[in-house]
Amino acid sequence: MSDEEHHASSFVLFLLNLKRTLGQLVSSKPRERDEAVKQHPVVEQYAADVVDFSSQYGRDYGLCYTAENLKGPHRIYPRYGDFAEAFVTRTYGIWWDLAPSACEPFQRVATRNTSSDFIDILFKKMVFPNKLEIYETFNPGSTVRILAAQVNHEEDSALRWKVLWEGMPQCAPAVPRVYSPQLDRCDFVTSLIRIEFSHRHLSYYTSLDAVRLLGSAETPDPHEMPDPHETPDPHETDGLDRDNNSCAVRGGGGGGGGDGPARRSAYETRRGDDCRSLVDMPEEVIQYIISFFDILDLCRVAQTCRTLCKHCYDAQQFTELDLQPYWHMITDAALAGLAGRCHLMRRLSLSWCGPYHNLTEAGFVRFLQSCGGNLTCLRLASCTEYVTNSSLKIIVDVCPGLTELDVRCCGRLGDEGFAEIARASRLQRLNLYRTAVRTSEAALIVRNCVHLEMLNFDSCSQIANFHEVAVAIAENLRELKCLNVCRVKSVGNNSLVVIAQTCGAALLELDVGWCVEVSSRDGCLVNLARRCPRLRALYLTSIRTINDRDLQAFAAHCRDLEQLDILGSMGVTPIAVAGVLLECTQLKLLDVSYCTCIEFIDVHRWRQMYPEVTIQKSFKNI
Amino acid sequence: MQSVVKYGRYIVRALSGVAVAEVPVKHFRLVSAASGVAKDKGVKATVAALTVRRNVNGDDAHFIASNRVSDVLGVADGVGGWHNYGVDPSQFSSYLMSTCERLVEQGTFSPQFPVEIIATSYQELLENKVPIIGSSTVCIVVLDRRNHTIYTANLGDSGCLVVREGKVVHRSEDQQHYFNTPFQLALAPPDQDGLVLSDSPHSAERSAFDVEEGDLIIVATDGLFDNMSDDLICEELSKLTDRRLESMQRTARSLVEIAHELSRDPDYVSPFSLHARANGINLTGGKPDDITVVLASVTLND
Repeated sequence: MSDEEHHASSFVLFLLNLKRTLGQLVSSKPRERDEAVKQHPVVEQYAADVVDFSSQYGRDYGLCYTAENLKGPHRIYPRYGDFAEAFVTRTYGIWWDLAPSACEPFQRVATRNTSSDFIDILFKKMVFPNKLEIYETFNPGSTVRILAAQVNHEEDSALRWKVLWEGMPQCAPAVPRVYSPQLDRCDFVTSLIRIEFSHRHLSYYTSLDAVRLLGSAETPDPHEMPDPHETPDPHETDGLDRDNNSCAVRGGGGGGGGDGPARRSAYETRRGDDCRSLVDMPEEVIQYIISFFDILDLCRVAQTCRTLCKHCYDAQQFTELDLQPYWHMITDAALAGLAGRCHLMRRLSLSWCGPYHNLTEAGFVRFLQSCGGNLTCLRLASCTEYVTNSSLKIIVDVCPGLTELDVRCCGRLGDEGFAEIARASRLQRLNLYRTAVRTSEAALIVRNCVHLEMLNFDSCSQIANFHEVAVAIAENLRELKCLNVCRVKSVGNNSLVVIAQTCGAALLELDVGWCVEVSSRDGCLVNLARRCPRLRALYLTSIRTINDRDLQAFAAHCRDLEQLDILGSMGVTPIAVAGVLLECTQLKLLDVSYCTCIEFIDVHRWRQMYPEVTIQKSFKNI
Repeated sequence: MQSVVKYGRYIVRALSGVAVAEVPVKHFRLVSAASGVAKDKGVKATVAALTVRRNVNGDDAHFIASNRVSDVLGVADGVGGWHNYGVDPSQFSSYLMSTCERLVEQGTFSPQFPVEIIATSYQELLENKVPIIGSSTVCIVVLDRRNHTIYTANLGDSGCLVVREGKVVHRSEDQQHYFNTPFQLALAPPDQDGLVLSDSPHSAERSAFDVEEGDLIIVATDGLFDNMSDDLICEELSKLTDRRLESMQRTARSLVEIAHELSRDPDYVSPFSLHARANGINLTGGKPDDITVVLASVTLND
């Protein structure tokens, strides 16, 4: 971006924010103002590239609602609304957790607010970040964590991630805003920032317009900065700084390291007084109590004394391991450390863990080989680095009992990898969102994994002939409950007919949003309604041809409908929608955004008549 | 997926500050100005609150964009007949143009194939949550900065001209099904599917032309070409003495004003009326229409 553009955009921004800026200046203390003047020249830059992300509403290589839209200066701000030029995440609110396809949560819940999405943004110049501005243009308030990556100059060594800010999701008013939380001091230069979002509390999709990083190219204050060569190796750091690798990293052999002689004697003295303590409780009770700790706490408690250490390192505590909230701490060494306690592990989530080579394929495979034998559930969302064709072969070999596999956004998986998945014949749940699976491999998986109940092909744009897959589904998957083929271009009416005919009776959830070939023609959707009486969630997003006849059929046959999305329909009239609201008594979510015949006044009336139904109608302000 | 393909394991190396050095080449660029007027200025009701209103004149829309390797100009003329269906015709053209603009800014196209810009943008209209209805002609000109060539794609009766030293040295061809019914891109409402005239983006007429420093490029909707002959346009352009942006803007505006003036003259023998007579229709006077002109000059980048 040229300097002119920089200045122009910052000037516009300045004008727009003039009132607020003035207000802040008046309220800020004089000392702060002086400091602002004294600081080094600030480099202001918008995102140069989007390197990785966990989900997006739009399709890959598209322009509408994609993560790439975060690149460059803001286009929408200060307008507010549902603009196609923004980055929009794939989900919002609790609806996907309530749907039949929802994942079973892990037993041990992280105490920090877990993020649902992330985006990695690369900037052109390396700076010491001191401010990050996030332009939110629709349903703001989802940012929960900001991290910066520190590069070790030796190639192929691990990135160190530092949490610059962490906080609760915000209940913000429905106006555009530039969110810039107070960042922690950062003692290294960076150009890679990860922003994490949690949008479970939001009432509709959130939109982000741009991200701007402000920072100085020079050290903020050279006197206070440690020599970069003396920065302690995170692997050897003592203590439990939340931004450093935790004790979870360190090996099982040296566990309970804090148990020094002084502390032991004090403990024994008290014991001598016949004073009942925590550790005198029955083992089952202790086990039960510590089962409520999150992983980090478990590791901290393990450092207090030998008895608790024994309990905390008990393999029973590691039957379910969700490392996604701690993704930035996970390295090969961290997994090696955990391996000793995980031989009873049944469910594992390494989603987001070890990006950019922090976790290598070798490290992952070693961990799996030592303690993956009992795994039934394996979640590996956005684990691009080590979910490869070869590691997938090992996964399938090592974990014969696998019933759930999630390889969302694992872009390095190729044909051989998917063929390996087909060997995991006991799979019941498979998520292939944004992967490069192709027709023949998708069909192969469906033919071999006949127990599949939940199948997610969302945004699998490489499936060139979905009908072949549909026929295989109809022939093999008698237990299919949830099918997601959103944005699979080759899905047509014929595929829907075939699937509805044989799987319809069992089907609970169907997402055919943005399948441009699907239409209301030939009574396809009426037929779908008749064949699928148990449907609880139905996404017909942007199927423009849906008409009243289709809706009447859904109202008549699908009485269990809880979620219905007919966004962008051009033929549906308020009468038919009112019919659905009346007949489908279980309805909780209805999205009628951009339906050309439905006015805000209709929605307003329905909201009053059916307060238990969340009725969505999106909008844009100019 | 795309990000992963792009970066993969090389992210660490990229972060270490190894930047790709750009080779400095002396290349051409465009200094561009745009102007336009709506047919019924002020009369038109603001129907569609949902559309992008930037760079729109009546049912016309245009864009000027550039990236590292190319400068791109485009105009689109929304087909007015959609008023009868309660659809704002400028919605289609303005979305098409703004999508083209974003495509250019992202730089994910080859300058040699402007038709691909049209095709991709047309596909992208389907990806919008807003159901976009309408049809439009479109003309796109791309200057490839490296080889000093313009590549054009023209679908319908908008067009482009290259003027060198007061003479038209290159022009795009009109594409019409029959008189006053140009080729057009279209997205029809469900009940009209198949009944609406709709041409493939790939049926666009394409051309390539080597430009020189000082050449003037005009990309405009039929509102200009139906009311001003080439000679008249060249005459107006000859008044342009320098290539500064302000002068370009002035000239673009005066072209629009002259065309607008002539379009309202009932006795003027316009190119449109000549064309009509050639088709056996007795018409005189100008053709009142939305007029959009994008004027660009080829200059040496320094």
